[in-house]
Amino acid sequence: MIILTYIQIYIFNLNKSKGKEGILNMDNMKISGGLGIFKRNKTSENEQKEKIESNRFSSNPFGMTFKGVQLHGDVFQASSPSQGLQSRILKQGKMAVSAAMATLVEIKNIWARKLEPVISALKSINERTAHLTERLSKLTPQIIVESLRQPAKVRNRGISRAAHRVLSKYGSVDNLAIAWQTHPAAALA
Amino acid sequence: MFKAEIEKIEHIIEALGAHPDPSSVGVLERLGTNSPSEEIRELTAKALAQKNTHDSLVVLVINKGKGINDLSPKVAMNSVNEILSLEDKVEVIHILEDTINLHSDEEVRETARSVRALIELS
Repeated sequence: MIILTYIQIYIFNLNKSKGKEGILNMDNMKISGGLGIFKRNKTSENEQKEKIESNRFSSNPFGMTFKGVQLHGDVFQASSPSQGLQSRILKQGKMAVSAAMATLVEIKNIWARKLEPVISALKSINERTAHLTERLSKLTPQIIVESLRQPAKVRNRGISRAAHRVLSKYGSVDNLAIAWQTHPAAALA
Repeated sequence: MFKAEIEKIEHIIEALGAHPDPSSVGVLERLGTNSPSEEIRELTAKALAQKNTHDSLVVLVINKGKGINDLSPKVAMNSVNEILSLEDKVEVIHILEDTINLHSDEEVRETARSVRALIELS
């Protein structure tokens, strides 16, 4: 005697395509063969969805939320002839969830490693900026503005060859003054 | 002013800056710091700073309208930079402190105070 059992089969479908973080779709399927045909109607589907929503924060992996990724699953309830199928689907569901979690954790770690040097550099810049701001606050406004415009200059340690030639040619300070004054540009003085 | 003329003046100023005769400071002050040309005033300030003597540094620090108090910000900052690049700053610090404490002009005192602070911070 075949006992027709009212079977509700929920299919747990995991869509893990790149760019979508754990967006999962529910798939409704007709199942037939031996146990009768199950046709889902919209009312029961809504009831199931409400049930899932209420289980969202429970420990049930099918009603679990993981870091903003909502996992929609249906509770699989079946009688004993489908226990094997049930356990297989449950296992696959759990494995799919675990894989999704592992992927998201890995993505998070990768970005943390990439961003760490950037964050360190920004912190260093912040510290140096704060230190420089404190130093600059002690100066007059004119000096601050002009110091930002002027590049740092390196002192020439020696005297140029041309200056040496001038010095050796004219010798005394007086001769240099005369040379300067006799130059057309010196007429501007 | 043509480039060749500037070069000649530059060589003369540089030679005066290296001249051991103390009266070279007077020539630089008379002809250089009073020049209408900013470029010549910059070169003069550089030469006076590099001399690093009491008389040459006094010209840069205490005179209103010359050296670090030049009316041109470019020349003034050039003078400040030359002072900051000195290896031996003992004499210029002494002159700056005297200026801060004793000078009659408030603006000159203020500028000397700023340069003194810059020396401490650099």
